[in-house]
Amino acid sequence: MKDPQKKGWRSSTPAFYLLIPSLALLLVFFVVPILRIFSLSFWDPVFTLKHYLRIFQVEVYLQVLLRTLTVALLVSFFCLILGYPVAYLLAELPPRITNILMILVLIPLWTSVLVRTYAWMVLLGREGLLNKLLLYLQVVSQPLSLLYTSKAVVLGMVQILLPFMILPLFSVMKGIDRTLLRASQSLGAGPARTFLRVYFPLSLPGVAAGFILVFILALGFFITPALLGGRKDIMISMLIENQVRELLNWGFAAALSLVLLLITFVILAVFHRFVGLEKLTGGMKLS
Amino acid sequence: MKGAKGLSWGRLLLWFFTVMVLLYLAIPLLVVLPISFSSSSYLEFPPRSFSFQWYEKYFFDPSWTAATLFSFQLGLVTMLVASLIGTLAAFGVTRGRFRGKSWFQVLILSPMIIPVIVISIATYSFFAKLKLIESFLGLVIGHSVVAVPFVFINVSAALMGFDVTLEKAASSLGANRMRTFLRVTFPLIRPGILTGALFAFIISFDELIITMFISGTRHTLPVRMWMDLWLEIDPTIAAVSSFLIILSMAALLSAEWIRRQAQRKYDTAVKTEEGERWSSTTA
Repeated sequence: MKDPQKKGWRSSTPAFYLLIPSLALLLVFFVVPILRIFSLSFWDPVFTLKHYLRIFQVEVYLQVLLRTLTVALLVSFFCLILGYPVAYLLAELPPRITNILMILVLIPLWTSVLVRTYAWMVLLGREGLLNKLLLYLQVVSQPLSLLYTSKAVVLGMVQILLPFMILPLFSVMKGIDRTLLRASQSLGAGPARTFLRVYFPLSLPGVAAGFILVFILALGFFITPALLGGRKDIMISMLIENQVRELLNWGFAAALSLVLLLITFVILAVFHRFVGLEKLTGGMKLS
Repeated sequence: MKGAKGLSWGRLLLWFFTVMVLLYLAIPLLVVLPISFSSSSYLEFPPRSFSFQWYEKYFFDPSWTAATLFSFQLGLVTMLVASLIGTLAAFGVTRGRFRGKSWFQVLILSPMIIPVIVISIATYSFFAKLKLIESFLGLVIGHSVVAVPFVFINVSAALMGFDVTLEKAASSLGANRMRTFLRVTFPLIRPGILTGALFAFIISFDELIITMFISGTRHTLPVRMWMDLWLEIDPTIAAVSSFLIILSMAALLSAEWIRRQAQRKYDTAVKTEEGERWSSTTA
């Protein structure tokens, strides 16, 4: 052996070969199918932009797009409002207690979205538990229409996506150097000032990561808006499903998909430019 | 200390807020579990008396049991395939040096970020061409695409926190590469692989949207549930949901247990090492 350093595991193993199975799986069954449907959006059967023009010219479709963005924004906003204080407390507590509380954040995350959406149907329906409770307490005399509204969609989606906000926030907050806070306090800043001028700015990468993650996941949500929303609350995923399954309009569905993907990519690219994508996966290490 | 009282009030408020948010997160469990034991045929809460009738309906209805068994089969096979592929990829990325590594990472993680509906219709159209609709193989492939990233993340994390000198030590002591892998590397990253595998299983077991497009008439449990949810909601779905909740909790608690075992092992290993170093320097 000439140079043991060079002859180590690291360089002598052609590590690249280990990637072949995953590369094959993803290229053949993920990249190629997606590229194929994108070509469907442009060739129908000759080159055309009619599907894209339709999205931006027909008011109904523009509304769906706008509604999707609005709902995603609202959901991310509420997740942040609810998630920030929780992550803050979790990052402060001794590890033993944090571990227990963290399980309460992780259980819903591991529970099927379908099950969680069903629970909201049971809770919010006309004959649902909430209405029964309100009638029983005589708060209302008629059952309220809670289910099949956009409020129900947001309520359900916030519950489902909240862990994706708490986890990246927590992992960033956990890494904040506590001595900086003490330094700030010892220099005469009160707790409020220390939080606003030191802690909050340091937690911003977590805020950005959580917000972007929730926003992107919310954009493509299907199950929850489909089951909790009314006829007026169609989001882009439901429109895509409908175009394929009911109308067999592949070209238009593909165009909608490409628009959805482009929005996702633009957001991710901006996020990567300013914060870094690795912050997202930090939040995704889910246990 | 001045302001200590104000601080503790703030603290109390923070705790109160956190408990409320955690309750909100727990709502599905708090609603679904009690209802599944209700004795009446329509939904009521709190249930007046207990019964197992919805579980009976679930476990003795062939269409529900067939769907459940099918989901288990699919979940287990997907788990094996995704764990193998994801683990190899994680090794390649953490150990290898090649160009385009970050691109590969983006590629392998993208099924987590790309909206499932896009993946679904793309897979549907592609599988229709390949005659893979309604086939077990097609479902395994479809589920693996979305399950692999979770294995990849967990195993990569395990490999990242891994001391490569241990492998060097083993090989310098004469162990060949296979032996080094089996006796040193694998035991150290096993927790990461197991957690990734649990994830892969749950992802596959709960997958609805891709499955809905490509499963044809063979129903998995989520697809069967989905169809029922559009017809009428009777508490049978609550029983099925409770079953799913318990399955997820079992998976999560196992993952948590594996993580703590590994942490404890690591801590004692570090302690003994420090102890030995200490005794050897004093000797």
